[in-house]
Amino acid sequence: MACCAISGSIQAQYNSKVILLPFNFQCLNNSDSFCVMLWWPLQQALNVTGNGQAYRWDMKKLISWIKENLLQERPELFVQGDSVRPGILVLINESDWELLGELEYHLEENDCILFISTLHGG
Amino acid sequence: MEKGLNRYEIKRYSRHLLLPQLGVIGQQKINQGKVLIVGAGGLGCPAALYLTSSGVGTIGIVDYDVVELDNLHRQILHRENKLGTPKYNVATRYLLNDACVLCKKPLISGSALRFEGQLTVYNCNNGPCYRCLFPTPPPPETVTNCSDGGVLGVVPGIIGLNQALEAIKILTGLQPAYSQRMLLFDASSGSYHVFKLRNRRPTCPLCGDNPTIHELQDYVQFCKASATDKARQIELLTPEERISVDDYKKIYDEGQNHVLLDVREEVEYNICRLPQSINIHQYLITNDLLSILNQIVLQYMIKLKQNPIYVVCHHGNDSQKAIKRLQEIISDWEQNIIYKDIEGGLDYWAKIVDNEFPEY
Repeated sequence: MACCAISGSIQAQYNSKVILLPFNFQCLNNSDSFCVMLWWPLQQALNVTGNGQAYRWDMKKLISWIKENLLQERPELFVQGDSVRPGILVLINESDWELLGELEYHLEENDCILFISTLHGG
Repeated sequence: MEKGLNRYEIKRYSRHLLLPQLGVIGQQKINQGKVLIVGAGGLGCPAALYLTSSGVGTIGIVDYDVVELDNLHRQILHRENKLGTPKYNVATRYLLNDACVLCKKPLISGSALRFEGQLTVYNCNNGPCYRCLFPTPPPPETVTNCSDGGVLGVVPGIIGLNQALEAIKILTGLQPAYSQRMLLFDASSGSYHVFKLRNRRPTCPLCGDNPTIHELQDYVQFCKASATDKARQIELLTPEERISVDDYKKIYDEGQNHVLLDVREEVEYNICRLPQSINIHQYLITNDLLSILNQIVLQYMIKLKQNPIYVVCHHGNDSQKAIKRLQEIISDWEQNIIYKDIEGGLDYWAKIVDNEFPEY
């Protein structure tokens, strides 16, 4: 299993009701808490068959998948072009994705991806 | 540093002096230390309390916002009788970062919103600066401030105290815990996560190997947003599509049949509302929710024929967006509806028309 989470601060902007959880995702926390953890079967993200060849999702694919499948509207709150919008920090296994190749990073088994929005209040 | 601590200082700071990591030298460094606290708010107040009592020699506090009643649940240094005394956001963060890099000072940056808090030390021990992490400011419409999103008062308190702790460690020469790291605190689950951040970017225009920024800039323009925590005013609609709170008051007082649509979030609607208003949050106005809209239209048809539907929100911004959405969605099958945005929203209503109406 790999896991992907979208932090509460991003969720909250979406008013939680407009983020759709697809059937095969299991929601581990409720929307009030730190993040909604999304798990999906390994084969969907890690071993997708295309052109007769197995390939692993990279971060670019994951982001576009989230945009197409989870964000019912206002994708601009999460994505900009192929990547996440400025102000969203992407963490792969508790490390800044910049250390791991950003969009080109290929998902591995047991990876944990976290999207967090930087806060500005105080 | 040659002169030791006096009798009073030894008594006063004895518990610090007993710590091998601090000792007399560490305490002397604290006493000679200088800390500038920017924002005497939910973060700055608790930080200032502990920095002061720890013996930091010079503390500067900068703030240009005004102390308001709705901030006192987290800005603990202020009392209700200090309301109106002159007391932050994305532009400020870039300004502070640039100033710190240009002056070669570490920046202990904290933030809090709702149930979440964050903390990172920038420009310290060859770690990244704020621009290394965020070269581009976020689009203004994606930034939620405390006055829109709310914040649980204790959360910035916890982050502020962690900031004070980092300041003490940096002053005494100890390693800060959050340089090139980010602390994420989630008050709901009580969990603290620490993430490793990227290295300093050699290509950073500010702290990189060949910097192009040598002085402070116009940050409001850079971030396309105002530097304060206050709500911004937008104008999406034409003056004809809007109505002043005074004019709406007349319609209200005359008891004219009309539909008033309140597009704030349910939590806000529960705080205060105008009588007879219907609450549908602006983001719920979608094609899928035409059935709800049908209800409005039905009421509209029954109650009145030519009167507009009045739309209201907190500050008069979301109501304009809601009208745009309504116009797009409904225009296909019902083109005769006129919408009127109540300018300035319930905020103006409370300030101009009804002083008894709650402000939040």
